[in-house]
Amino acid sequence: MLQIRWIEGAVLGLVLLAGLSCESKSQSGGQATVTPTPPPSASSVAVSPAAPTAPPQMVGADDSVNEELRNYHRHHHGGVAMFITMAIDTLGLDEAKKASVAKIQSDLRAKMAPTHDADRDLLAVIADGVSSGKIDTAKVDAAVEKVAVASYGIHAATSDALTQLHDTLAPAERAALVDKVRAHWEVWRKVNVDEKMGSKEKGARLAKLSALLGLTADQVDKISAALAADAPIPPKSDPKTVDAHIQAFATAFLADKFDAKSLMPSAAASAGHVARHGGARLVRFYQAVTPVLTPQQRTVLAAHVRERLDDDQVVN
Amino acid sequence: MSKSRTTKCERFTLIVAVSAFSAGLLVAVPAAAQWDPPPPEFIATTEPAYFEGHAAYWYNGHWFWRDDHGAWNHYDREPPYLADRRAHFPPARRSWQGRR
Repeated sequence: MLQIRWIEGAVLGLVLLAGLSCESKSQSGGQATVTPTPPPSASSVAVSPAAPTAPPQMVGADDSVNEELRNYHRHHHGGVAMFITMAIDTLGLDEAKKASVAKIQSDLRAKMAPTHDADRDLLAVIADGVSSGKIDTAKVDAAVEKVAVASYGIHAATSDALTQLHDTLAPAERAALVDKVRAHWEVWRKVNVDEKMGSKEKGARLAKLSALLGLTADQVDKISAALAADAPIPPKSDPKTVDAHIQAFATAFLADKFDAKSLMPSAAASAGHVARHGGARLVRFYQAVTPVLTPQQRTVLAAHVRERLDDDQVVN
Repeated sequence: MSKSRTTKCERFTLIVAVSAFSAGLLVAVPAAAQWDPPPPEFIATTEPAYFEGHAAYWYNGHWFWRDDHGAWNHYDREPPYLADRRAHFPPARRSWQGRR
């Protein structure tokens, strides 16, 4: 009887050891493993070579490069065309192809100059308002609308360049570009739509501002309360239209033959959303913050906003 | 004497079994986190390497790539081509913040 129990125990131990061994093998012995992750949703948006800004590293979700991208998308709202141009910067092309793609990218950026100029004007108006202690609502509203209107003609203006880009890239490079466009849209949406206004959570915009200006707890509470209040939804603004346009772009760009004209309806339907929604949120944030700051803090913040004018945008 | 020896064996086996089970649990938890695919911020800012017809990203010590259906995959063993490429051309990252 005791012998039988001993054997049972030994068998159990061996089975468990074998199970452990099998588990380790499955993680290191095979070639490729599928990670059960949902496919990218449609809703996830100058000629300068991609400039490495961080050394190769074990990168986490919250490193400084990731944070800089989030801050960039909080301040710039050039739309899907801007996401495409930014995506080109990190395609990782070989040297032979880089030169021809850089030429196409230069053309894209030139066609997007009106959006870029309007984007800069908006930031300048906000910086002036922060500096003076009062943001002129009429001026900033007009500046936001200028960015939105400028974005209307971008797709038509960039169609030829997009076709050239498609024809220059290999299928895997086209897929990488589409993935990057979706990634930019996802990050843009994360910081301009998903992030709760007035959130005091670590990593949220208010927490970043608090670190920049050394806000007191009372100042943080006042700003948070002002931002948490219901805000009017920007008119003519529907994120689903951008989802649809990015999905249409992905389908068209991944095909062997690219027809930019087929994207005209979705481009027209989505034009202006990123500018209106992102611009309105940007303005609202600085309008809530400015009255609570000391003159010295306003000076620092105005300088910070003016630095965003110098960000490496889609047009130089 | 014989009974005592058998009981010791039983205890030893039980300890081995429990230890093996616990070790299995400990191995499983970090392994799951290790396979988290790169976040969108990383995809947007990092240059991929092209291998076997797709873009691959070196992230948290592993190469990740999407299949034709958009699902993330990873290589359990680093393919020699990607290992060599990583050694000679470390993946570059890009920031657009600030003047270039």
